[in-house]
Amino acid sequence: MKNFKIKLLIVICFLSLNIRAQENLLYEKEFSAYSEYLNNQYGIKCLFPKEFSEQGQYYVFWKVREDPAKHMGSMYGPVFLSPNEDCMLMYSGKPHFRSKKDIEIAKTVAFIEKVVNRDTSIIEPDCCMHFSRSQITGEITTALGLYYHRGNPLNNDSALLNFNFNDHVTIIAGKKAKEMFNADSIYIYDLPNADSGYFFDESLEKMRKEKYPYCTGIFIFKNKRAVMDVKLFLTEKGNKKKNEYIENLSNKIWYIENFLHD
Amino acid sequence: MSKMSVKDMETMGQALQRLNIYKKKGLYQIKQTSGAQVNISEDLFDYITRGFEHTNIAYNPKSLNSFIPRLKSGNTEGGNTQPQDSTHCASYALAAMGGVNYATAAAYSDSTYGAGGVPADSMASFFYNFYPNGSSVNPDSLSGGFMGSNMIYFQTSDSTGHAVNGRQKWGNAIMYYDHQNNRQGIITNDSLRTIYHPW
Repeated sequence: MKNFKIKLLIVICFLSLNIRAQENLLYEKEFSAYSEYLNNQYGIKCLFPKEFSEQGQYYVFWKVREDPAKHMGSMYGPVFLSPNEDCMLMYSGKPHFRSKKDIEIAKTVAFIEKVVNRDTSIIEPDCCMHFSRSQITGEITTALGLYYHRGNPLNNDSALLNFNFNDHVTIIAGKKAKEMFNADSIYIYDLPNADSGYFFDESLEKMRKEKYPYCTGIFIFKNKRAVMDVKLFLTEKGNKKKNEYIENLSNKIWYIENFLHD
Repeated sequence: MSKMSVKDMETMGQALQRLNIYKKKGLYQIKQTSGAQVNISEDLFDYITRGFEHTNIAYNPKSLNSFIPRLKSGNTEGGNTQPQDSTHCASYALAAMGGVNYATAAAYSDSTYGAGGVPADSMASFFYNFYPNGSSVNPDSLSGGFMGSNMIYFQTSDSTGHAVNGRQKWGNAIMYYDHQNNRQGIITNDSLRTIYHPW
């Protein structure tokens, strides 16, 4: 019997190791591993939002629209629920970081294209734009039915040119951003027609469909650091308390000062 | 770009690497004052210098602290927020994998396929030209998780496609990063043509 137990234990150990190897995970699917990963890789400290419970969901794919031709979306997890379940909140599964070298390469590429094309426009290339602005613009214009993905012939180019970012997004900078997250700025926006979003995970998609017609996006930005992206899914009642939920995130995500990326 | 030969592009790429180019107060500066200092022609040095001067004007020297966002009703710090099309997505995705110089890839693309970019049915030969030991992978055979260095190619219409870099796989979906417009997106396996690995 003892031998059987040992064998069973070995099999279980190998199975779990095998599954992890096959999945090639950045971190284990648990909050302590996630927070350690963010702390070590990006210098971002993460805690549970106050009174929220963690749902054990990681590597969650969410898109603005289910339509396969509409690509805008990202990976999230952990997922949290407020005590009354009026708010489902999720942190970015992998904050977005562009190294100084990446940015310089992008600028050099853009520069070469400008020079060789004798481009006289005064528009800074997209590749040099902040990730927060680019991603938020993509999400909102997709939700408005204007954008599919880069190069898609169905993109409504004329409407996209007239899209005004500032009509949709509130930007908080300065003291408030520093106090809340030790960040430089916070971008907050309501996703239009958010009841048509899409989770690839069936259980989350069922919850979203049944309970959460509203979605608010938050991008937290600090110069030379990774961008942290948070999504709030809200019920009718929860939507009225949206600001409270956002305030609740204060100090739960925190950029460690003087962190240097590899 | 199509007016330049592969050799021209390579020469310019090498010249850019030799020059000490840096940014000061948001503006590009070139340490050298003549082509002779880095063994390039004065004509080429002048061409590149003028290009950077033009870019400095284009990047609006007034917004030196470009990371500080302006609030509502102000101008956006990033300028235009709309994606613009480019025919060099494959060169960009290839360069983002590391190990291949963008200028070289773009020049090869232009000289081999013309200014319209790499045609859908030539993507494999374009890739293998730079990564002869590379491989193409069936998306269904990939295990989930972090994808590492790769280029993925998907169809945008019957005759056109777009190349980006895959980041994470989950089930039958892949999250990608498009370096050209600095955005993330998610695509399902059925929209994918191929995934290319450098090994």
